[in-house]
Amino acid sequence: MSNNNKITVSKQKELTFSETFDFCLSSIKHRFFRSILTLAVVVLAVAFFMYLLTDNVYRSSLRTGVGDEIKQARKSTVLLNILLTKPTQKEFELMLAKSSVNPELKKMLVSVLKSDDNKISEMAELARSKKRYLRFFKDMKIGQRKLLIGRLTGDNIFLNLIEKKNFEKFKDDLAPMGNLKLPGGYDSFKSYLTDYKNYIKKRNQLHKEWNEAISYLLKQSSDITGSRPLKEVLASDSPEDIKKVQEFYKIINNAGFNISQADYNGIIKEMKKGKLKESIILKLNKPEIRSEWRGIFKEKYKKISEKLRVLDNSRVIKLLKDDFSKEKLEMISRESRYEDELTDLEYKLDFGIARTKSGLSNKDIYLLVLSFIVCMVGIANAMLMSITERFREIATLKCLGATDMFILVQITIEAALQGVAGGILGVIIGLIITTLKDSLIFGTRLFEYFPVSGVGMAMVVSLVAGVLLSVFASIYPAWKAAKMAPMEAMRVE
Amino acid sequence: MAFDPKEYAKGKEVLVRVFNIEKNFVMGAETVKALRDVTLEIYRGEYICIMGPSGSGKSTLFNMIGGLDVPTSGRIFIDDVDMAQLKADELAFLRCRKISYVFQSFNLNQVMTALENVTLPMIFAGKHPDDARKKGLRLLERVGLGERWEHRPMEMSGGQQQRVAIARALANDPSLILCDEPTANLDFKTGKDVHNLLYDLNKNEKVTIVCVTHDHDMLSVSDRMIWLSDGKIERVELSSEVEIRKATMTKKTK
Repeated sequence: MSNNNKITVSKQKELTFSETFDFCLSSIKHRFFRSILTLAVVVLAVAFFMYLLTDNVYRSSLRTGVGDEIKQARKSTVLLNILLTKPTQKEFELMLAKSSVNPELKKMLVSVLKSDDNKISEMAELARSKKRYLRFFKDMKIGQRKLLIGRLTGDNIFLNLIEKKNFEKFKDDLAPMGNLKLPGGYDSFKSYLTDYKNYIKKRNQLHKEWNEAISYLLKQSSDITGSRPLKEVLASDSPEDIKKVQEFYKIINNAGFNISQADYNGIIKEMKKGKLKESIILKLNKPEIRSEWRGIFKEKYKKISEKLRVLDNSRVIKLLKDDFSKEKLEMISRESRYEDELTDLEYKLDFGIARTKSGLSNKDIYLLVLSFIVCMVGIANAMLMSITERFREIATLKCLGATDMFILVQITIEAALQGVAGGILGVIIGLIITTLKDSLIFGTRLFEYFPVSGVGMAMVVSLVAGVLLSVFASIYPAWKAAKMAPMEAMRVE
Repeated sequence: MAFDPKEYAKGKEVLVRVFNIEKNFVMGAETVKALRDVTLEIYRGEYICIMGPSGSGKSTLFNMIGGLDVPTSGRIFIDDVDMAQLKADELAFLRCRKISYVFQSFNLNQVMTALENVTLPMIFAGKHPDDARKKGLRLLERVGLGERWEHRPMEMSGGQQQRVAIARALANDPSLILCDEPTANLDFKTGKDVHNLLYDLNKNEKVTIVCVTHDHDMLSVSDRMIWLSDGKIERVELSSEVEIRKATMTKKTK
């Protein structure tokens, strides 16, 4: 058993990573949950990180979903409005400006005005620039505005500035106002002004054409419906009226308002609902019903909007059963609750912190960075403590032939493993907390728009962050352990 | 029969050569001289005890021989290898294969089984895990713990733990085993067992053992004793002489 050969000394062989890893696994499995403190810090940090990320993901996905819903719900009203009212010059300009971001509206403009796509796009861009310049004038202080443009408003501002003399004066006046930046700079404003008269002419032409188209529509509709308002006919259920409604649809499409059948049906449905709602409100406002209502609900649900929400109450259904069927009442109450709910969600989503473009607010980022620093110090401290406890063990390992590198790698691997375990635990805890909290605020809507990929991404990011956090925090303690003298093993407690 | 170094050295091969070493510890403004001009030779296959009162510098000498510390001046050779010339990873190599330690408080890894503890140095030496396991089992059998290879240190008595530590020290067939008060934490009987084991290893397996101890019972198993006092070698004795003296002393008291 004794080696009696002459000693030849060479470098100690370094263990491979996988050998070190195996060693760590076998030694860590007994020690793992003893270092609860370190683990707890990692769990907390990752849970907090997860909470911030997931909350953000939930909100943005809800915002998109609910936003689309609201848009859809309001679309039919907007469409009907477009069809049945002649816009003022200002309103028409707004419509033009909107068409540059709304392709459907642009298509409608192109076909109704019998123009081509490029021309409308150009006009839309010009309208948008005008909107931007007007906002620039509107946002400045009163004194500045007075100096620059006097009391002029709207088109007159631009018409005034077209003259070269006025523009030079405007330029000189604006130059010392350092905080005011003309959007796009002077040159593009100047070229905009040179085109302005042309633009006004074209715009007025288009506006006239549009109004003619609307007038034609209105005339046609009154031809079809006679003295009754169109809205009433649209909402009617009689076969005659249904025929008229279909006729009107043909007229609209012939005039170039390309409205899809689905959207048109949406309008009709909306009208019907409106009519039903109106008649219910009329009924509810009758004195005998009002007194009955008070008998049922006492002081509750006094406002008409509140009343509409509780129409599906069995006593209300009983009260109104002579005039309205149960299904209709339920539908209206559901609809009004839904609208309220959407407005409510919208409010909740926009309430609170102003969010930056990346999704996380400055406050969130500040909290994140701060919590990371605190956690890193906490983990480093806990690791140092646990290494001080294991001083003798590490020194003994060195007495048995472990190299500095081995100790360094071993402790870093242990930290990384701890990071993985703490990270997984933290991700789960963070996810549960966020989901609970947001489902309390947003209800089942949260799960309707559950962002699976977003949450998955947040999980991966948090986990990686947790592992990196532990590894970074372990660098100093690991280095300290690696540099320890093997003589420490001799110490007797 | 007085001890004659020249006579004793005849036909023996020198394993450790200690040349005029001094060690100073600086403690604040004071300098403590732990070792003053110690010169010593240890031969292959020998069993040596280093004795002395606390503060005599025996632990310091032990650390120097084991390559755990460097002397302030003087040189130490193990098999003609100058310890002062070695780099950190070469020292690690030396500690892994050529020198083994047995500690007073056993220093076993508490979370590992006896077998895992014994195979540890072999893993560091790059031995295949299966071979390491086989050899570990054989070594545990050798120290009389073949049945208990699966037990953890917590489940063993002090004597058993120390025997596991000795098995671990034998793992890479070292040239030299350094024992730092191996029986100080043990009771009389288990201490005796450890003595016998070390004696057995020294006589039958020709393992060179250097033992720092307070325990006078260890004298009976060793070949030679080195008495340190105040950082100097006071005297060197053969254990046979001490045995005789002890015997006469006990006779006298009777």
